This record gives sequence, structure tokens and C-alpha cells, in this order.
Amino acid sequence: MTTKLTDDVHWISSCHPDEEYHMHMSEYLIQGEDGTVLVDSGSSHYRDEIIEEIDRLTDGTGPDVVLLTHSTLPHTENVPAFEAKWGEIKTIAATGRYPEIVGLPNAEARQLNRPVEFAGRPLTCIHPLLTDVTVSQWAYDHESGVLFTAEAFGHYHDPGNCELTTAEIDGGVSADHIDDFYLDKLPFIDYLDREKLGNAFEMLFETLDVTYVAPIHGNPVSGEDIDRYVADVLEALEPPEGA
Amino acid sequence: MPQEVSKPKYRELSDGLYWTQECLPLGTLSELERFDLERWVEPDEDVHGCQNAYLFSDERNLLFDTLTQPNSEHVVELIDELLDGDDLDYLAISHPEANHAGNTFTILEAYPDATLLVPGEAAGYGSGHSAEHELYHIAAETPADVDQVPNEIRYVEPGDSIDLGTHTVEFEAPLFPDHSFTLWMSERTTNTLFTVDWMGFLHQNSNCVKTASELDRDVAVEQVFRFHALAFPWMRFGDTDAIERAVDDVRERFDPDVIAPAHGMVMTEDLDAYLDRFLEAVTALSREGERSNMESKLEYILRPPEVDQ
Ligand SMILES: [Zn+2]
Ligand SMILES: [Zn+2]
Repeated sequence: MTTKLTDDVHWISSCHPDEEYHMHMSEYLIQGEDGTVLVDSGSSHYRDEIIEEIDRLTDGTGPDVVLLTHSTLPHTENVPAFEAKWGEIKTIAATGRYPEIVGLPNAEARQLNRPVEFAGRPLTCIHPLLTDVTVSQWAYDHESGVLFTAEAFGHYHDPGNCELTTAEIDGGVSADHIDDFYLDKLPFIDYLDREKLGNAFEMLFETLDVTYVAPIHGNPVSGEDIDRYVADVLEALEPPEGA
Repeated sequence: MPQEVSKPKYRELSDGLYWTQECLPLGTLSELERFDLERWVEPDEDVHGCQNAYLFSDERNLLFDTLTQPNSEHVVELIDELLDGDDLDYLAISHPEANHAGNTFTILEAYPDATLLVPGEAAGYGSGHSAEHELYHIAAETPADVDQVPNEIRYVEPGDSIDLGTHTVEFEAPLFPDHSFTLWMSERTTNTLFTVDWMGFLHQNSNCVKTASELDRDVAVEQVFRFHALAFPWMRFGDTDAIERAVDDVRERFDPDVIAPAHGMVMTEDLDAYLDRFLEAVTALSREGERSNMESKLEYILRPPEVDQ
């Protein structure tokens, strides 16, 4: 359940099965200069296997920093279990104020829009271009070029494609899996102006050199697939014919 | 000055309907120059965000949302005081986000006979997708074995109603949701629409727990703009025509006499004017997402790290 995305970014994933397809619940572990940064904490459904995997990857020391992309569940709910296992962990909430009201009384508030070093690794947190709840953030890892996102850039997948990046999936990610995910998770898509959003995505990927878009609920999207993927996302936001 | 979530304040809105409010002091905001701040806040005034929960004290009692964990002790005290020793029959949750549902577990423990009403099928992926555990585990201090909760749990959907005696509440599909689980609620006798995250706005420290028409000054578009910019980041990329149609839908389909939001002041008069103010705010917000604005913003946001230079 762990895949090496780049030299020092590991993708840890569990699969939430439905009748037809799966949904990823992923975390990413970054090996920094002075320790490890875990992006998201995963779902309590998979708590034991997540802890076991991180324990293995960190030689029993646990992560030095937990960086949350979403201060809402199920993205945060393993933090207390991690601390019970490995002791106090510096935790960064996906909110700039009052982390205690999102249930994270010991977390630090985030800082946006400039690189901050976590375990010696510079990461920039930005406000997502597309997200559900406001207490969320995207994070860009300057060294690996991985952009971590949460609800946006998610998609379902077929059984069997659980541990593949989009480049490794035969025929790429199915547009239906993107479409279904957006319909389920982003209840406001009918109100979006696709052109505006498309322009913003375009600018984002022109500005940043992204090797992978690493979502919490989907296969990581490799750099060469991003354009097509964004086009599929925008397509998914198109209202159904005749509506 | 240390900034803390305030203890909950409350008032009775109408017979048996209580509004409870906790405030988040956000500072003076005077460093921000984007708008003419004088119009709604003086340089030395504190601006507040807030969380609201609403309690019906009737033949059967119902609480809508829970306030947040920093107030976990006070919230049970407050319910006890307002219900005058009566039991809580229903705890209804608008959506499983910690600032709305953070005290779910504390309240269920204090009222083991209360039925928990949670949005289930509102989530497109089905109620099986962790709806249950998300609500339980939202509390920082989750008991080790959540199966021990004696409370009955009922999933609710748009159209489900609960007869409280004098009042009847009904769950509604939200026209402006943020989270896929969100449900609005309406109440028939008072014709109140509980709009959860929508229609909130910031207030001045002199105006806590006052209805919009009792405030010591008019509500400015900027108060509404700032709140929605925060709560509905997608509105930057909103299609203003589609949003306007949804507001018309609210006016026609619900035609409420009272709008009771989760993060603003209760509106009891002139609702059309407040809906218009929202439309002005959303028009300003949608300009933020235009290419020229995003360009300068993204360049600033994503400028290369200084660490390597
Ligand atoms: Zn799978
Ligand atoms: Zn206040």
C-alpha cells in the first residue's frame, strides 16, 4: 500500500470500496532534510494499517510533522492515535485561526503563500482553487514538485488500479470516475463558471513546475497527464445536456 | 490581547426558540485597506466571526448544531438552563464539520435519551461512506469504543420532518452548500429558514447576539463579502446568473420570514434587502476570480521560494 512517487515522497493509500468502484484515502510521507513530514492523517477505518506502514517507513520514530490538507474529518482523525503511538507531533491545521474550533486544540495555525520549512523541507501552503469546506489548503513541495490537494483532483478508481499513478493506468483515469467524484463531493458545481476556473488552473500550472498532483482521494496525477486531467475536470463541471 | 472563543451568549427569538452564539474575535482588521472600513467598523473595534446553535424548547426539544469544543462544558450547562431541567429529545447536525458538530459527543453523553439526527444520504456517495464515524470521531476526546453510545441515531434526508409540539422542523436540500453532507432546516410556525453556512456575516463587538435589524448600524456589503469569501471559496469562480437564480428560488420556494444562519446574525425583517446584499457581495467576490485578479494573486502566492537563493 506504499508507492514511491519520487525519491523522497511516499504515497500511502487505503481503498474505500463501494459496490462498483473504490475511493482512495491517502497520506503522503515526505522524507525531509531533518525528518519526515506526513501530509494528512488518514481515516480511522484504516488506522492500524496506516500506523504500521508509517512506523515501518520511519524506522519506528513516527513523523516529525503532520501537515493537514483539510481540518475536517476524515482527514484529521488519526492525529490523537499518532501521538499516543509516537509522542507529541507538530501538527499544522488547515486553518489560519482558532485550530481549537476544528477539534485540533494542540495544532498550529497554517501560514499561507510563502515557503515554510517543515523538518527542513520547504513547503508552501496555498488556499485551494477548488475545495469543499473552507478549512482546507493545498501544499506544494518545492523540492519534489509534488502538489498535494484534497477534495479537488479526486476521482474514484476501478479495483485493480489501486496503487497506480494516472500514467500507469491503462487508458488513463476514466472521465466518469472524475465526474462521479465531483458530483458526490462538490455539491455546488452547478454554480461554477468553468472558464474562470479553467483560467485559474491554467495559470497555476504555468506558474508551478508540478511533477505530480497528489490528491487524498485519487491516484496521483503525473505531470504529463495534468492538462488532460484538468480538461476532464472542467468537463465534469459541465451541466448535463438539456439542463 | 489573547484571543479566545467567547462563552456562549443567548436570547429567545420567539416563544420557545432560543439562539445561542459563541464569538471569535478576529482583531481590528484595520490593516486591511481593500474597502472603506469606516463604513462598518471603527479602527479600534473588534470584528467578530461567530458560530450559532438553535434550541427549540417545546413538548419535545431539539438542538440544531452544537457550538464548538472550546465551549464543550458551557454548552451542556446552557442547554440545561434553557430547558429548565427538561431532557433534550433531538440533536440535529447540519453537517459533520467540527465547528458545527464538535460537541456532538459531549451532548449525547449528557443526554443519553436524545436521538441524533444526522444527514446521511445527502452525501452522494451514500450513507455508508463513513457518515457515522465522521460524526462520532469529530470530538477530540472520543471514547475508545464508540459502539457504547446508547443514543439512537437516525439519518435524515430532505423532506423529513419532526413534530416538536407547537413547532415542526423539516430538513431541506441546501441551495448553497459547502460540504456534500450539508442539510438546511426550516420551521413551519415561525417560517424560519436555517441556512447553515450561507447568509452569515461578520459583526462588531458591540453587536453580539443581536438580530440584523437591532444592530447599531446597517449591514455593509463588505461584512457579507468577507464572510462568504471565507466560507464559500468557490464563489470566486461562481456563475453569478446561476447564483441569482438560486436566490430567486429561496425567495419563491421558501419565502422565509426569518433567516437564521450558523455564522451571522438572525434576520427577521427586510429579508429581501439582505438577499440583495448577498448578491452584491457575490458579484464582488466573482470579480476576484477573474483572470486579471487571479494573475496578480497567483504570482504573489506562488512566487519561487527564497530558501534556495
Ligand atoms: Zn482501490
Ligand atoms: Zn460577537
